[in-house]
Amino acid sequence: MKGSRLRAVLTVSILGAVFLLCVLYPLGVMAGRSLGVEGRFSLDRYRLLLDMSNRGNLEAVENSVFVSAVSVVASGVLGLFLAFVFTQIRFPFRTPLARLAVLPVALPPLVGVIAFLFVFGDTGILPRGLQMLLGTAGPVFPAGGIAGVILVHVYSFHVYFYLFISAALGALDASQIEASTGLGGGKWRTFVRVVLPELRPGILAASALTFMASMSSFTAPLLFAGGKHFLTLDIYASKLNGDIDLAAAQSVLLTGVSLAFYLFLTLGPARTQGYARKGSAAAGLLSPGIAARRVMVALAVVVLAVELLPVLVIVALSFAREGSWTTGWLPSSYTAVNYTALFSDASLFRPVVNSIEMASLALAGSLAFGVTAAFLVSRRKNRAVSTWTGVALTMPYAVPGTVVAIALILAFNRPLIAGISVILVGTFWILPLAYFVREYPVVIRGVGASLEGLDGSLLEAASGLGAGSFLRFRAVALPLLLPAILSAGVLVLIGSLGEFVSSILLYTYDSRPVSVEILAQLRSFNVGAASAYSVFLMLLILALLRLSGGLLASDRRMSYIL
Amino acid sequence: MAALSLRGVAKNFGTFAAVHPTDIEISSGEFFAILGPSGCGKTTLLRVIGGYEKPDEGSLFLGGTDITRLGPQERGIGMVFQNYALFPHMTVFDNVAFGLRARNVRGDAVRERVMEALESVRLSEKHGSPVPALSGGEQQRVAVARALVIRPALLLFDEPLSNLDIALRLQTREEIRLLQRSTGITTVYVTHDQGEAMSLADRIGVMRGGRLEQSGEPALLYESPANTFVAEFLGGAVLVDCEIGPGRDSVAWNGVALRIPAGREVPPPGAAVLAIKPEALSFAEDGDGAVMRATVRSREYTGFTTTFGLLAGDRVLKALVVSTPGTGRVAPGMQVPVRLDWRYCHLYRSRR
Repeated sequence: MKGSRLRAVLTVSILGAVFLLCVLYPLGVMAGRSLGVEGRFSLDRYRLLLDMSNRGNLEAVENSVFVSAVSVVASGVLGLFLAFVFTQIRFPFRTPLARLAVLPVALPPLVGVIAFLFVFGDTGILPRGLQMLLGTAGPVFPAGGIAGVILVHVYSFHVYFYLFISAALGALDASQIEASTGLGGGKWRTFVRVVLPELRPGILAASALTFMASMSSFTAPLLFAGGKHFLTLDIYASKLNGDIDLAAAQSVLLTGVSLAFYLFLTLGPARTQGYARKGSAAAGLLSPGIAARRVMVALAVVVLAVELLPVLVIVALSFAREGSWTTGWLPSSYTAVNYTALFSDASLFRPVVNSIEMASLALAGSLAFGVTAAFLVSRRKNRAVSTWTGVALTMPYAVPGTVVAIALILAFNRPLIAGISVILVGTFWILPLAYFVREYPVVIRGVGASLEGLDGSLLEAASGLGAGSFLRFRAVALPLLLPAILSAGVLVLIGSLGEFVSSILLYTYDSRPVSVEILAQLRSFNVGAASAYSVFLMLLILALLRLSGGLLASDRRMSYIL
Repeated sequence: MAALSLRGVAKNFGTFAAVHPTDIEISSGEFFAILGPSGCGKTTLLRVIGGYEKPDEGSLFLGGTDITRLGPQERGIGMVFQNYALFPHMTVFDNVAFGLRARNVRGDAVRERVMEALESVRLSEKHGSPVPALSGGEQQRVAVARALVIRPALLLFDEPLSNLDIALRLQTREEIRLLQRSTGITTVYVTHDQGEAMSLADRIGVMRGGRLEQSGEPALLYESPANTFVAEFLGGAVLVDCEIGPGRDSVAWNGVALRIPAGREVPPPGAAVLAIKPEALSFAEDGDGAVMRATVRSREYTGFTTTFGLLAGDRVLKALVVSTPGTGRVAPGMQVPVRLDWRYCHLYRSRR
């Protein structure tokens, strides 16, 4: 009794201290710095930022909000369309194609954006290829500026809608639709009156998620916007200009918007409710007539081809000899030297080692912290307390990567308290710390969801049989949560290995991760090297996804063998 | 000495009183059933005994020791959960061994005791099976073995048969009964099924609305229900409002005056409630001894017995009779003379 009580208090204290030091303290310091001018309290920076007569500020807000709103609508339409086609229409190769449809989320953000740039940018393969083909004066339909940013967003974020909506469509009860058509409702009427309302929570959640992600999107504006103002880019610019206090104020504003959406997402009507339904799934019941069906499937296949194109192109470009892609629409000469150099040149391989090291550290931290926190949160009897603790702990999920970097810089570029010096800025350690802060919420959310599905009487049975809290956790909860922990761990690794947004503000030459190196190679016009790194990252992530899938399957088998 | 004593134990959920202050004394080796409709607080009371809920008032003693403040892992009480709560990622053997390993029993002793426990529920062959591969009845027996193996001072059952089909339920009921008799472990058993409680328990506590209404041996509860609720719930009685005569020797109901046999406890004259159990009514075919006439509303033939719904006044009474060729001729719509056996009737001042 005494021992387990002491252990519980100790665990909570350690978790609290980590959360305080890594999340609350940096954000607090950031808020504080944004409010201080020469040691006095002042709202001057906010007045400056919210002064909409200033052209730059207005443009940043306008662009960020406009791009985010259009991204939500366009991603929603595309995601709904694909979800409908893949759940309601039967056609050959449906299952492998459906798997392909989620490909864009598996791409690290920087890789996705540069791949897109290579295909659709104004020097990209498609516009230049069409220019050659049609003999026009300039590239045909180059994607760039605001439209380019939106396209990249739709490319990445429509998958949220696709996933949420196809899950909701899959959960639809066939008898609901049969009841509606049996009562004389046509297919279209049934879809609008019966199906759409069921999809509402999923659509709301995906909308909030997409809006949040678009507002904090950094890579797409950086590479596509051509110097236009965006909220995230302005933070980056303020930091580079040396006005980190202004960057702090901009970060606070952006975080405020993001957090509001996050609260809506977790506590508002978008929260997905669990329905207990009986009956068979409604797949195929809404399938339209044969002509419409063919058009829709053809369109979906075109969309998937466009989605796949950037990946194929970046694989092809990774074999391009440097300097061979200048005037032609394709590189003129190919070689494997980009890969051999990557693995033989120590300075080229260094970023790979860095990324793997830092991602592993972030993984260890996220699992230790996230799993324990999820367990403690779920064991609280009081629903409100447990919900709010969960929301607070997963808050960094809503903090844009740019802001995480600014907050960490401000918190750890000076002694913490008199006597204790924790200067991390300019060291290797600040990067894994940033990855940890950005990624651990995934573990709490994933493991927390799995814990909610865990039968509470199992833990009660264990305690009745004499198991203390530690044994209950180790022998009962942990093995049952293993699949969730593994997939959360893989997500942490994927996020950290390709992390770019925080890294670009925090790296030093010695600690540069792969993503920063890709950008550096790109800036020196080494398209082949940049692509080779990208392909390497993609393969690593693909392997991790397969590994987690394999492990999950074998774990399920394990439960029957052991 | 009582094996388990509850003294003024009460449990609230927010403002809702799930269990009002309750006293129960259970002696060593006794099989005690807590019986009541759903939502009466019986499972909550069981969970308080097991340590899964902390009581808001009162205290619990197990073998003379105050266990009120102890957690489930310190009480040494075995519990069989309604859904069995077997660990799905472990084999049958590891499920049963769990409690021993938590108690730092090691080596051959674990194997011996686990196999012995599995033997007692006739499952020793299945020791290597994964839990999901077992049938519902087998899972139930593993849950019993897992609770028994720790040699608990007290064994708790939370509606253990409710997930089984009817044939298996009767068989498992018998097994639980034999096992409890042979091990002599003091047992508290929660159920909403009065047949289950009557057939298994040495004593039954009937609960309603968080209160223990009456407790005692099954026959006592059946023959002398303390109030209208126990008469209804345990005896299947139908309640009718009546008027007790000034001499306390007759009761007026439905326009007829019924004579109360001598030697019964009768409430004071005035409004009262008469509880009529199904076996109290029978047909007076020859008219002999009939106290009233009733209209047959329904007939439910179950083989050995037949249950009739009889409309008398504004109440439909139940009559349970042994099936004979004669009962087959009694059809809905008929007017029949009815006899009343006072041994199966009870008088109360009011409903409660």
